[in-house]
Amino acid sequence: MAKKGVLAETSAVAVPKRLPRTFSPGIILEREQVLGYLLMLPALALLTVFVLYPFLYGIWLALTDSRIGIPGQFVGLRNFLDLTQDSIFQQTFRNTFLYTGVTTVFKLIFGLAIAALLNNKFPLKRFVRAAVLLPWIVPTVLSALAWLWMFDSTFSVVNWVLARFGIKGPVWLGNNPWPMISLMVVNIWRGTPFYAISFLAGMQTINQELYEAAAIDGASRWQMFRHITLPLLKPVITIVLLLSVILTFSDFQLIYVLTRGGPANSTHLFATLAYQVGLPSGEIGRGAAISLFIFPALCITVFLTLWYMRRQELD
Amino acid sequence: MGKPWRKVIISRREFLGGALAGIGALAASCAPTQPAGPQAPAVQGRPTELHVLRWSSFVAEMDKLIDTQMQEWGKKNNVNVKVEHINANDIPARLAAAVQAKAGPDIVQFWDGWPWIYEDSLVDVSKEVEELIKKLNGVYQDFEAYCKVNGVWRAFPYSYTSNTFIYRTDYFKEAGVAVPKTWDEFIEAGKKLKAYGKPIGQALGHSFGDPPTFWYPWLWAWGGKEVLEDGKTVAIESDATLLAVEKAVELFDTGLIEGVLSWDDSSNNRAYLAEQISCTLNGASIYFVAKRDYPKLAEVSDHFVHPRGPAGTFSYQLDWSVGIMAYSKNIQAAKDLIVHILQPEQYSAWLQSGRGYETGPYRYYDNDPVWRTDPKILPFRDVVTNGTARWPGWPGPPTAKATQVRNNYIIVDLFAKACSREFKPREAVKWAAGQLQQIYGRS
Amino acid sequence: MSPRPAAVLDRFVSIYIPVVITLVLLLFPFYWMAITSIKPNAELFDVKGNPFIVLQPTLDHYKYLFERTLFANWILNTTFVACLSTAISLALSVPAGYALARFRFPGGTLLGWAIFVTYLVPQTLLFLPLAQVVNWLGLANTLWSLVLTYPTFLVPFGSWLLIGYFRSIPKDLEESALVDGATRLQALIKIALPLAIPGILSVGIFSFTLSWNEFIYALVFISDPTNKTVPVGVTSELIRGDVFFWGSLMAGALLGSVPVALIYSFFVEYFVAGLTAGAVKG
Repeated sequence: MAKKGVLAETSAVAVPKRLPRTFSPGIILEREQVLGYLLMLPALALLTVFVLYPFLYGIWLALTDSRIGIPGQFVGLRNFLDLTQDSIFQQTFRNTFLYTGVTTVFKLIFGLAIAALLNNKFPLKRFVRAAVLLPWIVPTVLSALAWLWMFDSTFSVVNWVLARFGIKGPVWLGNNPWPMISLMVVNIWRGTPFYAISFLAGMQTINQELYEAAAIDGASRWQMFRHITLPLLKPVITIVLLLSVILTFSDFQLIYVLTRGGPANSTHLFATLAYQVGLPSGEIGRGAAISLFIFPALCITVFLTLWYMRRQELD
Repeated sequence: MGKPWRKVIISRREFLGGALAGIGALAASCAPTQPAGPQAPAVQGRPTELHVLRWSSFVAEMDKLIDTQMQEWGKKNNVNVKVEHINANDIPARLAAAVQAKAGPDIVQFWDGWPWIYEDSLVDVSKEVEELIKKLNGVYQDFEAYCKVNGVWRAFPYSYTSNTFIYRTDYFKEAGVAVPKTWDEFIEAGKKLKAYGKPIGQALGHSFGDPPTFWYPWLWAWGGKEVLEDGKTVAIESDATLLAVEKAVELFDTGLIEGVLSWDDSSNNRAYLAEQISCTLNGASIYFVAKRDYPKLAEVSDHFVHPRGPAGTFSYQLDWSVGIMAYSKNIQAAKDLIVHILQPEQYSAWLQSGRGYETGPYRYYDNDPVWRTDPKILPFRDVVTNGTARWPGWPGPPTAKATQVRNNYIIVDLFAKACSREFKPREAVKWAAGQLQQIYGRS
Repeated sequence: MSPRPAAVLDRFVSIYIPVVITLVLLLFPFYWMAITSIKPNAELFDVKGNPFIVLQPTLDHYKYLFERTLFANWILNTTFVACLSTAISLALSVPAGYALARFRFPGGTLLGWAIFVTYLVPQTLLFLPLAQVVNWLGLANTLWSLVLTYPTFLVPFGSWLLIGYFRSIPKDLEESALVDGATRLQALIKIALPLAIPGILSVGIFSFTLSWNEFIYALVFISDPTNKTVPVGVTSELIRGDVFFWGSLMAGALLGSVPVALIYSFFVEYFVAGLTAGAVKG
């Protein structure tokens, strides 16, 4: 038994050679194809049970005029075509891209800055790193409530502080463009720690000698960051961006708590509009269609990111 | 289901005095975990299950009392009654999922036109409701509009969380303002109060209660309507609507406190209790919190009912009804339970535990002892008994379309868009007309 | 070696002060939660006073949270669900990630993509039909409904991160183990797995956080108050109509996050080392 392994494999990438014909389960497991499928089976099974049916059903809903509890007629792409004509949806469409775009840029910048900062040695480093993660850990619904309280038009502590400096603060969640800005602020606050800690992870794997060599050559701190840290961090950045864009694009809880899409729909994202149209208003088919708009948009974003990542890997 | 901590916590909870809730928790933890699968109807010794979904009322005593009433009934009738309270804003999600899965709560409390949306998923309760109506001297017309869908009662009228204007008697006096009888007077009052430094507060954001309950009556009082009597023909584009929008902008500019575009249901409570505003439309919760935490504030507060507009006096009350889901395995038990809690012996005690926070939908309760406890809460009854309450979709029925309009905040946003200056009043009306056409036009 | 004053100043300007500013900005809302949670109601709504000062601190809101709601239950439920769903996700995504990273088999890439794409399916679309599935399986109103559905959004990204991580581990070690007669499974368990621990840990932490946060599924699938999770329980019981129990809400938010943060402080180094180290090396 023991020596068969040698016969079978000298290189993991090599196409497996035909094994001796003694048929036993152990040998089957030595085949890449078999073991590969077996290892993936549990994950695939779970996703098939819990995602495949709901997803297909969701697509079907989007193609019908179903209302909750009332199976609808097949209407083809009418829901989607209707939506493109709907001013509320158009606004939501713009909102979602704006929201994702702006917050991602800020999270990226702040994340890099904080990571660079935390990469230094200073007292209580471990405590500070954990503390930085806090906004990302607290359940969103609850931290959003804290922000709701801080943005309250009567009790806003932010405005109270501004007033001490003689500045009259805006009605954060009330007058355009502030509601959208407020949501972005909270999203950035919540998302930045994840960026920062992940980037910090990347930075710690960078060989210190590179910096020492650069220092000898008289490089400035910014130059080191620009020409050593950033290029070596690129793979991390892509992964983090990928995860974050997906979560931000389909953000729900934050808006659900802070504005419910108001005032006058100025803060609706796909997920909240889908919820409002599909559930409290009962037009589940149309709601599903709105939800589905998230999907192709995300797919394109993700494929672009991954394509870029591939290209980087090849370099 | 091996969760060892559960026993510990339940016993601790009982120790802590939450005995009532504790019973529920115990019952729940003993309950079989899968609600699916047909259950034998009330075999001797094997209790039936009833799961009741209700909102979390601001008056915890009311929630507690009705939970007890239901559970006591359950004990007598060999039924395990589980009562669950959730945030009212979250009920739609739960209900939709339950209807989709054809499993979940047997009895659901909802508001306004929901029986129309869920018509096919709700049990016909006409016989029971009509008996109740006969016994309890009739029901108010808005409830009939909501619960009687195409001639069939799909839900039991349950209660009003009625709303009136709470106002500061001292501020009104100092600003030289009398209780307004018409909306024009209301606007004028707003000007004086704002000049005095204590404006009116009225939510204009997206939230399920306050914004619609103020802005619908406002539209109607100036003569605006979303549709005609047929409930189909969109009629929002009218001079009356335009007038309503222009008057709204005037009120917004000259009488409302800054920030109302961001307000949700809870904002005016806070602003009033912080003495930032002198008047707002709300349920009795502000007054009750004042009585409990700020007695001095309660002394200088009182209520008035909706002023009159050129087209008449209108209000829009929060109407809670209770329906039985068609997938329920225990429909008869559910009917019996609801009929039981609506009987005077139970219901009157429940009303009194709320001290006026809720109002009965049946005329029998117009003179309930609760209305003799505090003269300041009488307007919460009068706003119901004066018959001014209408519903979204009025003068047509509160159809599913009308509820879609309401829950997509089209009417609220009609005013919000003009007040925020996103649109001129005429454009805002056009925008709303477009939205309404879309919704009513869809099959 | 005593540093020169200029160097000390430099450190202050470039490190200490920015660190403090960062902490203040990120932690201010927590400070605010803490302040709110010990303010008596009368002070909460007082706009005249200084909002940063509590005149008569009270523990009433915490008392309310523990005595009048099932908060302790919710915390345990949330912990139970988050731990189990994280464990399940790891158990599923480690083998999947390994297979996709190491083996070539027909359709492998396609399956990899399929797994990832499920991560993009919006929750708002999924939860209604998913409620149906949960009910068919007889899981409605049990914590298991969450334990089993959370992995649907955890496994896809977990597998993907781990593909990257396994790829970053040199193949030579496993290959020489194979040469020495180990089976492929042994090579996975004894060689690759220990090396991948930082990556696994960071995926675990990420999964745990997402589970800890989840709202919609927990709202929709669970009806029994004793079975609720922290975000759903707190908002169900402490937002009553148009009255928010601010003090208790904030107390709940604080207690629902700080303990986790403390635990994280032990793992944060791993997290830092694990999440993407593979990608950097590779």
